[in-house]
Amino acid sequence: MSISEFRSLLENVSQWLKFRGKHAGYWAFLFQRASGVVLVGYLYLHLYELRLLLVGRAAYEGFLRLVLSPVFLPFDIVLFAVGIYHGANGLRTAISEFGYGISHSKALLALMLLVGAIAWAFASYAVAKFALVAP
Amino acid sequence: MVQLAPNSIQKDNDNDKLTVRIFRFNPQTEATPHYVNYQVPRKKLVRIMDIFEYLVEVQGVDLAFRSSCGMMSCGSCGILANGVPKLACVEAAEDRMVVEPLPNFPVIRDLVVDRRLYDEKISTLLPFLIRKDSHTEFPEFIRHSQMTSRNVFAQCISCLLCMSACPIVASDPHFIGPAALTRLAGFVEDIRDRDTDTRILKASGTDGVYRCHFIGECSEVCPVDAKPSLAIQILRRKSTHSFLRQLVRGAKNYSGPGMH
Repeated sequence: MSISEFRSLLENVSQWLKFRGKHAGYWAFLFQRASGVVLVGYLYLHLYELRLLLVGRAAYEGFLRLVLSPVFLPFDIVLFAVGIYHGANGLRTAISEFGYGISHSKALLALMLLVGAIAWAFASYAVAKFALVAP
Repeated sequence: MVQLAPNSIQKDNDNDKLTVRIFRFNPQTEATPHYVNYQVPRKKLVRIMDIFEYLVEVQGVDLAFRSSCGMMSCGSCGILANGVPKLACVEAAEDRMVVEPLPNFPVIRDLVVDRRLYDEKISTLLPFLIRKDSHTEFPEFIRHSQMTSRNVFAQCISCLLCMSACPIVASDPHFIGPAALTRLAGFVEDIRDRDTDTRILKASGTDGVYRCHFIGECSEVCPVDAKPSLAIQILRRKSTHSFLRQLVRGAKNYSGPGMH
């Protein structure tokens, strides 16, 4: 990609950051994009972490002890929110993109957020219990 | 004779002023655009179009803008008012309002944008009825229920507010866009139209319906409720069904959605 093409790409994507007067669907789209980027970053991190298996058992277990400690709990909770949102909104978008529920898109969005929030609360509770209570 | 109670008619107070900030740009004489604050008398029920006309006719401002019907029918007067695409002929003016040209289109001058981006796209989509057969009787008998879907999309007045609101059009000018796809959907849903398969194929191209991410801003800003997001999703559904039908039949010639 040339510099001019990169500049053009940046300029085009910057159009997405014009928030004024935008509605719920637009914010859902923006968060979908942002959560996708976060998840891609996490994926690379996860693959990088898995390479420790090749280094040795002690290295991998040491890393697990670190990420399962209460220090990393907030990151896990945020990651759950990002992943659950991305999946739930993706499902809503897939349903809508087949022409179903278009007239009730905001209701569908609200339902998705509600179900996602419940799933996120449950997942956060489970991981917090494990991180804080487990030896 | 009916006598009206005192103060029953609100009188215009010409001492009140409305301040409007308008985008000004003449590419032939200026390098960069700028904004100018204009003051107009505050009156009851002032439209943005009224302000433009006042500035031009009374104050002699050389403001360039489009207008025609003045009644939300021609789609000429689309502008950005406080960051939201609106039609100037029906939108009420507010104090300290910022008026700009529609985004996602090149500016010709001031509030006039180049509509060719849309015109070129719609012209490739066969924007006319291709009849199944000529009808000999007049009037042509069609039940209202048969045209309900078509009538929704046919309301489109090509005002381009949806194209301005769409972030995909903003980031990729090649995307056909909600306006053209809504017009196309109107013909696809018309029971009199013959060439549905060709239209679906055109809508399924690289820059067609599959570029839409169902953000929904197009439907939010549409002044005539032509439901552009519904139009795109219906086209997408028809395109997918068509593809699956061809797949089942084992058609070797079919190139598939998004593959041409």
